[in-house]
Amino acid sequence: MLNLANTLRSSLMSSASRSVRTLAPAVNPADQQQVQATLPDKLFSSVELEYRAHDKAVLKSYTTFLQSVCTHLDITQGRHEVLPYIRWVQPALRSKFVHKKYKLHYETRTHITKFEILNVTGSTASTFLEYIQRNIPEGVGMRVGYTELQPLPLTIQNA
Amino acid sequence: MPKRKLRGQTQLEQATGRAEMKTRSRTDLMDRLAQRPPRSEEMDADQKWSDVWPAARTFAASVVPLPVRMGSRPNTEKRAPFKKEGNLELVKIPNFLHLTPAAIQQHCEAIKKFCTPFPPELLNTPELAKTELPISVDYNTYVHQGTNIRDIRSRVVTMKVQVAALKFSEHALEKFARLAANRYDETTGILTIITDRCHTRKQNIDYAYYLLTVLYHEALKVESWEKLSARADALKVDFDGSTTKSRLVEIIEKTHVDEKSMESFGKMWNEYRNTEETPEKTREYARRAKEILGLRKAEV
Repeated sequence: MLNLANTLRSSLMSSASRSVRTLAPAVNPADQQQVQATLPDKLFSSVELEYRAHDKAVLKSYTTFLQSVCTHLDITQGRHEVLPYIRWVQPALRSKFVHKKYKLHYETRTHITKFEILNVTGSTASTFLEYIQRNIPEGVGMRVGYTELQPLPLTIQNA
Repeated sequence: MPKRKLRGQTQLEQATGRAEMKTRSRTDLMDRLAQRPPRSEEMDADQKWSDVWPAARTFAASVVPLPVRMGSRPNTEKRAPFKKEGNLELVKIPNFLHLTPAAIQQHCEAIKKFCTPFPPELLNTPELAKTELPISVDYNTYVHQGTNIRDIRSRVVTMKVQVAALKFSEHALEKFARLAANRYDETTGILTIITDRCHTRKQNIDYAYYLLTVLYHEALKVESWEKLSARADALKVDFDGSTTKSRLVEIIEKTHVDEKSMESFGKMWNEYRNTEETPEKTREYARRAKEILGLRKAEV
């Protein structure tokens, strides 16, 4: 009981960094052992963009835009693949009543394109991606896959 | 009788120019439109287009000086697609008029100062990455238009480690392989840790580093009970100590193949092959074969 009260009091006193009171003892991040070795800038061996839309002409235009940006910013381009579209079929009954055999065929097509850039630093990647994403057309969704290179952690290097 | 001027009267007034012109709203609008042509017609051929269309905008037919047509027609040879004035399809589709090659170049020149070059040492020698930067962390971010900017899939982290960079001894590597189980691939020498256990990406990366550290230090430890390991506990079957080896050694020791025995066997063999086969001769062959292979003691 006393122990509980003590931990509560200690966590209350050092609650400047915590908005929620917990029973865990307050830990100062500055005192914690540094795990990840810090580099001056992040290094990405590849950044893969996968963008999807309902219109493949829009994706094609966006791809030419990406390619021209890469040439201007001196970024090496990797793979560029146009994948087959994903089809979502939603049939509707043609008649108001009965006649289940006769339907209207409605489908939604999602076209997918992949574009890869190789060997970029964190600053270059964030600049490129911010510019790209600010100019993304309406109705296009994107997934950005990062492959970051990191050295061994300090907990292993210093062991 | 309606109050109106007679036809002759109105004609005379119009001819003399004293007629009262009634302003009808429709014609007024048409008049106004007729006075102001669309902006595209007043544009210079060598104007700066990025000043006209600096940012993304819905298509405005009067502003774009191109003779664009859009629409699906059964036969385009007979009837061209619809013109741009009042064309909803042109309005609906996203346009890239703000991203002309000149505009892209302009923008890139402006943002180029924020880019940094990739270290040339890493580009020239790819093997350097395997020793200096043996860990590659994969994660995804998602961009989609909606009310919510978050995506729960962005917390998933895949960490791949080149185990050769950890410089394990043979014993430590074997222990590491046991601890890591199917996460360690022997053929490529890569340890793969996929975490989505925590809520945020940073937490998952920290957790992956924690797992790697624990694996490393546990693999280096040698416990007292490890010396009790038997042949059956090993991950791989070893030739030294197998029954195959002992049997082979036995067989090779038993065979006594010297010149004399080979000669006598050769003589018997010639006789067997070149003369008529009899049961006695076949039995003799079997006896002599067993003798030379050491499966039967030679009768002096």
